[in-house]
Amino acid sequence: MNQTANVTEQDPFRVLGLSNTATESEIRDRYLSLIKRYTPSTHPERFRDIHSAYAAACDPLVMADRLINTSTKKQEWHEVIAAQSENTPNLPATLLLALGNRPSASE
Amino acid sequence: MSSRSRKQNAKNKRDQKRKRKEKQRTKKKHNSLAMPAPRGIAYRRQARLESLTPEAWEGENPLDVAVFDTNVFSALDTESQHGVNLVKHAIDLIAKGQYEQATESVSGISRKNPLRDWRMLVAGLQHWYMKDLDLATKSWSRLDTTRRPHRIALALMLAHGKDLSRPKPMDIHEPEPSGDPDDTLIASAETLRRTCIDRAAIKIAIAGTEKYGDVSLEPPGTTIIPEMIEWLLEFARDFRQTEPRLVKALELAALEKASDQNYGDIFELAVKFLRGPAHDPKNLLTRYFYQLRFAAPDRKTRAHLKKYLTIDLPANKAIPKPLANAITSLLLLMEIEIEHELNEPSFPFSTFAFIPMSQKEVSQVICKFHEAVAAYHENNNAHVRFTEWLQQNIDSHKGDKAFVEQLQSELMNAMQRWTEALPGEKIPRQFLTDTLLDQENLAEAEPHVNWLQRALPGDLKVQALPWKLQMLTAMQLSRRKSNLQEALSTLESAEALWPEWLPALWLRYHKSAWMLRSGDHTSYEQLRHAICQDTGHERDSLVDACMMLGAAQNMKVPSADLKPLREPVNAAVTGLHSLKTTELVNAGSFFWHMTQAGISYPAFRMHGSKIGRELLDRISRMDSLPPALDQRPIWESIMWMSENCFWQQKWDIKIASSIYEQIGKNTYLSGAVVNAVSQTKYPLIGATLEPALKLVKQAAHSDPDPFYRYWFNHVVQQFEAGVKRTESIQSTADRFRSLLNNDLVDDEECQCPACVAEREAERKRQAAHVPDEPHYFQTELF
Repeated sequence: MNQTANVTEQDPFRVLGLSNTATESEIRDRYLSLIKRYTPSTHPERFRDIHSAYAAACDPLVMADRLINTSTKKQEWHEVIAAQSENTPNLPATLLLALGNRPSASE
Repeated sequence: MSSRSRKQNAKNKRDQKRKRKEKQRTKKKHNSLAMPAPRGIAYRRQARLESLTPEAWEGENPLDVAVFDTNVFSALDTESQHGVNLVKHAIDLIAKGQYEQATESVSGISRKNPLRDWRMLVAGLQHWYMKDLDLATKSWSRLDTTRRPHRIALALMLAHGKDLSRPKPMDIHEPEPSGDPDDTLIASAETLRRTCIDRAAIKIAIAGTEKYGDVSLEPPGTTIIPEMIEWLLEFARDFRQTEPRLVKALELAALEKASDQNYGDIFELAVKFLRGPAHDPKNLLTRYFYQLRFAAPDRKTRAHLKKYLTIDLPANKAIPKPLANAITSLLLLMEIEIEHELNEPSFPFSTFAFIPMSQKEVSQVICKFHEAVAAYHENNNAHVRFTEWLQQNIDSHKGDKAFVEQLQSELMNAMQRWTEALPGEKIPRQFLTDTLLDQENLAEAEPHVNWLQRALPGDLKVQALPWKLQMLTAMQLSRRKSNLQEALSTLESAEALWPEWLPALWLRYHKSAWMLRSGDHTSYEQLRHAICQDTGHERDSLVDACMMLGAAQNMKVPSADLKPLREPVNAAVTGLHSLKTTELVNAGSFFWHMTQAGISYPAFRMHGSKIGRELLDRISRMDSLPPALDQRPIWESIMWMSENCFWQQKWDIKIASSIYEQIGKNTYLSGAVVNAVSQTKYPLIGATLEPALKLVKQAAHSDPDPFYRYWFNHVVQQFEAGVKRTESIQSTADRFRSLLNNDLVDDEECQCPACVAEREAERKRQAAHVPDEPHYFQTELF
């Protein structure tokens, strides 16, 4: 029976290195980043795995199944914080652009 | 002072003391709840960030200013506006963490375009966020030092630097394009460092979780305490804007922990105040699953799910429509399985497992399945579960013909919906092909036959379908006299496509039936005579009469001509006891060929089972299969009986000793036994069956006949699937039994060495007496 789980043999989210709750755009971003690193000419097998994992992970049924069945290992507090400390917070667009300000004439 | 008033005073003093202590305890508790002032830090940081807005300097490139100033943007020409829009979009994507997509979106800006600096900035930003500063520097090495992207890049790199001290005085007087930091740049870098690198939120989170999260949690089983939730609420209020991902991760971790323990008040506190994941921000689904952990779904539990599916999810803009539909479909399917216990339909110790659902209940479940399928048509599992469940109900309501017909029609519709939603699925195609061919609905069956032919090139039966289609077309054409010529040519086409693994004798009977249908009695008689001569069958013997009657019925011979053909069959069936065993065996062999072909005839229902039972009775009275008889037809008739469940009792099968002794020796008889066992309700492999299964598995690869390789393979697969099902039911039964034992029999076992040794000895004694054959596989020797 072709159900969500058998879209690929491996867990597509694990292949892409994503959490259960990864959004569609996070999946796409991760995929683009990986295929840049593992190109079909240099890493043909890895590329194939990444591509099929991406196709499977984008399947709404696979995503829905992951969201509903959250039976993964529960993280400890320090693990959550350690993972988050690795992720640089995203700068709001206004703040990023303001970084380029010059001293005003009065200064 | 009277003793009474003294007592009163003492009591008052005690009360006051008690109140003072209570007050102290409350104050202490409040003090402990107050965090090391995250609010102040967070507010100051937020205020500083909000005060930073992009400001154009005198003489700044208008293209750079247009990125944040709408007035300047509107003054640009269309082409420049398009380029600036790309940059703005990329910066928005960066702000959402979609770095690759941001890089992609500015990839259209050429190297000669004046906006190329923004493209380089975006490319480097991706590396900067990944903390790959070398690559970021490389991307930014060619930035124009007079432009805003260069200053932004400079601030970003400066924030990672070890020393943020003011530049030396001589540097300040250097011309601006040198790229040396000024006060504004240093201030920006400082802010950036606090926001992105040296993050206060992380430090506060570590302190908070160490204080409230990792304390020894009492009582046992507690995974989170109310104080932690209260602290997290404060933290989320302060840092949600500047550290949304950290706050979200901590909230989700808290919710997971709260869902993982059994204290309802803590769970309620968590789901009431903490925001849930994007697909369930109000935690309705979390509540539903939490309550399911403890009891069957009640009205309150269902209400959470209903509210989630009807109000919360459709209104959730963060979830794309297809994903929302998929979630709905999965949840509806889950609800059906939970409410109607479809996951464990045959729980062996449950009284209810043997009672079929009422018609009203079946209709309700059908409606629910319709909803689950309609929510997301591509949910293959919903189609699988629905059709399997319908098939189970057709089997369990066998006595009620009208209701079974209703369910069969529902099954047909369900299969059609399945094929329409997922055209690449084989199961519904095969079902529709078989059913439509049985109903002689050949036009509708044809596209499915063609599809199966392409999809399953290695499937022997599927590859024979065009032949079967031709045969059935010839039979259909025979209905009208005007089509008889076409019927003959179609019959000849079928002859050309005749599968090599199927005996072709019956085709000659069909040809003679065609002659009878055409009114050419002379040719008919000649052909019948020739057939009897070639086969050695006596005219109107049981097998000859059955083959002729079947062919005549299929070729729509009129009833007047059919009557004399019925008579020898009826006579034989009336006097079955007086027939020779060889005649019965030959008839059984023909019926097996019919099974192989998948083509039958209407009268077979009237006499097939009678002939089969008489033959089985004869075989069961034999000590061994008579070597004088031709063995092949005997094997074939035994395989036919295995396919038609002649051996089945209610829960097991009875195998005649003459067949039993051939298990593991004769491949075909072993195949028949495995096939018969696989069709019982709870098939399980026993010591007797093991050699048979081994032989059949070998034959599935090595038998010279392609049909038998196919059939043995099919038998093995069917048997293994049945065994898997039985084992899963057994494990459920074991769990149930151990529950009973734990709850009702041995609340607490004595752990003293003597008792432990006694129990161990008892276990060994029981293990030594496990019977070879499980009780459900009864091999009764007649």
